[in-house]
Amino acid sequence: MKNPKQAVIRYASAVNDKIEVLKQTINADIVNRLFSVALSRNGDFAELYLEYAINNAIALEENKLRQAQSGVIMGVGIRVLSGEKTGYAYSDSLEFEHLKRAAEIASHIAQNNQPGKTININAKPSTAISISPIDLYPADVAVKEKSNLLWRANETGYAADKHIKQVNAYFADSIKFCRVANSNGVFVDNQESLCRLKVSVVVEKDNLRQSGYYGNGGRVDFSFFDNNTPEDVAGEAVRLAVIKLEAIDAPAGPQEVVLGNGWAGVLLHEAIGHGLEADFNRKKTSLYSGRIGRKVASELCTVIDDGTIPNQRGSLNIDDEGTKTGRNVLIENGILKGYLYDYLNARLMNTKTTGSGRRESFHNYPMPRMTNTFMMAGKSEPEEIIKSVKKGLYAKSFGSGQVDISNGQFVFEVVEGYLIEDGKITAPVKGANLIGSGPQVLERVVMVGNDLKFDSGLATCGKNGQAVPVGVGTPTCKISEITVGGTSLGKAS
Amino acid sequence: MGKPRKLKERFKHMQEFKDLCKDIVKSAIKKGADEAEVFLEFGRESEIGTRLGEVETIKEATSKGLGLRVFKNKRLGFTYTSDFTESHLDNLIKTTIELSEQASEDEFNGLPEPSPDEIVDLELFDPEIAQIETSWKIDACKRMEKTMFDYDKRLNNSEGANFLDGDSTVHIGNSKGFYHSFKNSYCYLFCLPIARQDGKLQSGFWFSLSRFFAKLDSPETVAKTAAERTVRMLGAITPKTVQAPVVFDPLTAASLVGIIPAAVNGDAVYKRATFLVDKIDETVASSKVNIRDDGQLIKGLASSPVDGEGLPTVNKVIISNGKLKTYLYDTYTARKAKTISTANAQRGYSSTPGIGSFNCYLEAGDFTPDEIIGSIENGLYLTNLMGSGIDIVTGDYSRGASGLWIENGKLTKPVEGLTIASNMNDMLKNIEMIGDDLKMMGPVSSPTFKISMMTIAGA
Repeated sequence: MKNPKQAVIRYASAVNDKIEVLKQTINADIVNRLFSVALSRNGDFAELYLEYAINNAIALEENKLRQAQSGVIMGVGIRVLSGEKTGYAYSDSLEFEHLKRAAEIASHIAQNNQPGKTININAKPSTAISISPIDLYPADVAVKEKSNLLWRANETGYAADKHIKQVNAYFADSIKFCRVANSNGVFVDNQESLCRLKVSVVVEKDNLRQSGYYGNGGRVDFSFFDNNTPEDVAGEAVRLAVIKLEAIDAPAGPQEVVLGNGWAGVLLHEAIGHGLEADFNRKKTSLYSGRIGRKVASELCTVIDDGTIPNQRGSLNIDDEGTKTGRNVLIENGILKGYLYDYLNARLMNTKTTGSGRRESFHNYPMPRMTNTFMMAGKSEPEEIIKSVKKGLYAKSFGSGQVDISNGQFVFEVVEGYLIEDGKITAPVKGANLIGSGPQVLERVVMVGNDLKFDSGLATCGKNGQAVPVGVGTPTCKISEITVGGTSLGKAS
Repeated sequence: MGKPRKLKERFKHMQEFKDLCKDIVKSAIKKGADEAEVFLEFGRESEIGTRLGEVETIKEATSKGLGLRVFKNKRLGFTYTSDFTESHLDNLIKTTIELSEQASEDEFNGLPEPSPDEIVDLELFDPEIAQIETSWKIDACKRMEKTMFDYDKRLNNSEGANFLDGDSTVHIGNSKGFYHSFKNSYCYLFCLPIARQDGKLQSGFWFSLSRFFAKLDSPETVAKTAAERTVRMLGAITPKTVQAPVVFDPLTAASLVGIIPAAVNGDAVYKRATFLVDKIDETVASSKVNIRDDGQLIKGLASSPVDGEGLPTVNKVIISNGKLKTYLYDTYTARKAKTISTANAQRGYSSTPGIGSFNCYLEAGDFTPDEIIGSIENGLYLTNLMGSGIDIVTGDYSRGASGLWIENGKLTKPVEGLTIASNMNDMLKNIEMIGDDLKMMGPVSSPTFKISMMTIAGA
């Protein structure tokens, strides 16, 4: 379905002038000349990725705006493919001689000395369609206005509870322009905007200290913060810290676990998402290799990776190979439907890219990555799910997680959790971790709520040392058994 | 592949970049900054990967960037860029000063006073590394894979074998007349075997990292260790939940020791956001525990002649016989704590100085790893940790774990799907036996050690 809000990109004022210069510098003629160098040893695919990004940040600590900063990232990456092989080089200088040298280095991945083919990409690049149209880019907003958000969060934080010892507030935004061209004729310009507001607090009472943090953001208009206020963010950070003061040790061992809606979707990201990235499956190093069409989860589970959700942190107009992002069904009613492909892995596996080729910056070649990964809503009322648990853990929100692709083992920390006793949420717990294997846990999803929610816009995913922004989401759901790591023994049923 | 840049050309850069640092600092002062500092990096990186005996990736590039920090009326502004064109840099200086005007006045802001101490050449650069032939690197990767596959027939797949190398030159110059530049190099071998048994996969990993090519472990040594660590995990089971002793192998031990620099970070200390706040001269660990941070180790993997603000680094004791001796400070946090910087400012060009350790390690003890394992009737030999379940504020520790089970002093079966949990305060005090097998493997290193009791959650 076409999103009615989609529109042609309007460049942010912060980068507009520079983009005009860059478009002239790295024009079709230059790209064609670089491609003839890149393919001079008969490589079978050449690609150029030009990036220009501005990253801004301000930090408020101890009632002071500690610093205001701004940075520029600019460069070109050139990739040549030859069968399964990748040659890559980049340059942070845009002088033709330097770019030509990068093209030469990348060309060496192909060893054939026959002259390569001549490429003639279209003289005029297209411009990506924006899926998150924005009137006021955060990058165009004055530092003073952004720091206002932080001062408001700061005031709320200190006023919220007399035991608050520290409030730190942070706002970061970025605006990134890229031009992607390849020897298949792709020649496209794109711009992505991103921002986040984050508040962390330390609370100290009776010699006990706890911390809490919360934040929000995404590919949003600056007016987003009118409705998603810094006061709300600071209040939530305080609430999370104060709850932990009362928290008891988490009960260790296997038990029934209810996942809260929203942030807990990171379980899907770890438990299944990474295992469905095409590179691992082409190399048969994932436990999901060769299992398309097979049942890998309970029939209540439908899992989607969707890069087209307006304003979500993980969304992209096009991926970093110039392909439109899409709504990719990974699991439908428990059956494995597909993997996430970039161009290289799709080509080697005789299929089409799913628009999942992403990279951290021009310093890196792309890999298959997730965008916004979530489970579709089910039919159960959230209250009904909690009520069905006699003794277990309500894992409302998570911190970070990790997965081993080969055996599916994953682990992540519970940042907000409670005991469930006789169908009621009772004492808050601390220091809990969930550990399990992806297929096992997804088989054990026994109830799925009707309350799908996405995270608030802070998630970053790391793979092979490259970090990219992502989104996660889930409705409330119940897992019949999962191992909880904690320090308290003998309480789990 | 192309030949590495000629040395002469690189020396030309040295002089250019030195002049650039000085010019930018001068210009920032002229434009109204009270103090200014440039941190400039110029580096080369190269990466070769093979998989199943074929070259999979080759990557090579040079890159540069600079960060400009200015103080005006005790207010801090910061910018960074990889674009060194003159007009852009002119603008950048202006922007930095404007940004500083937006920040709050803070009496503790400012550059460090230049140190009278001598800056020592720590021998961190090996010119040989840039001369290694691509063909040698490809061959080394192929040899790693062959060694893995020859080790055991259940090792029949791989995420690849890789050789990475590079070097970087750092220039720091500021308006107090300080300028210094230094070079370092690195080379890094690693491989990622995949083993299969009864339709189940196990992945593994091993590496060697060095500043000097001659000190790098051989591809065969790296591959053999990777193969051994992977194969022994085949057929892993999940044992029942128990409280038992845990032996940390050097890799997992280093991960635990690595929590200490974060917990003694002077920034976290003044924010009261660490479990080690208000603990100087108190007993925080078993009396057997001695933890050092040494920035001056000759040829050290994480050594640096000066810190991110240009102060000569030092070799210091963090924990001595179980007592906490110091926090780690940069100039700002030291002033705030009314003490002097421990020269622990760390940064790349794209950030303002933060606080970090250099070569941080737990000093070796008297026991062989076999003696440590031999002391345990029923417990876990930990070889892999997952997730990041450490709360620095409270010290609560809970992470995913796998390894080998110890029965009657012997390693028996592989185990996975576990979590280990405790609190750092207890864990440090419960370090009972420390191994004699300290080897510097990275920025944080540790010998094997035993923690007398932890909660191990399993089936």
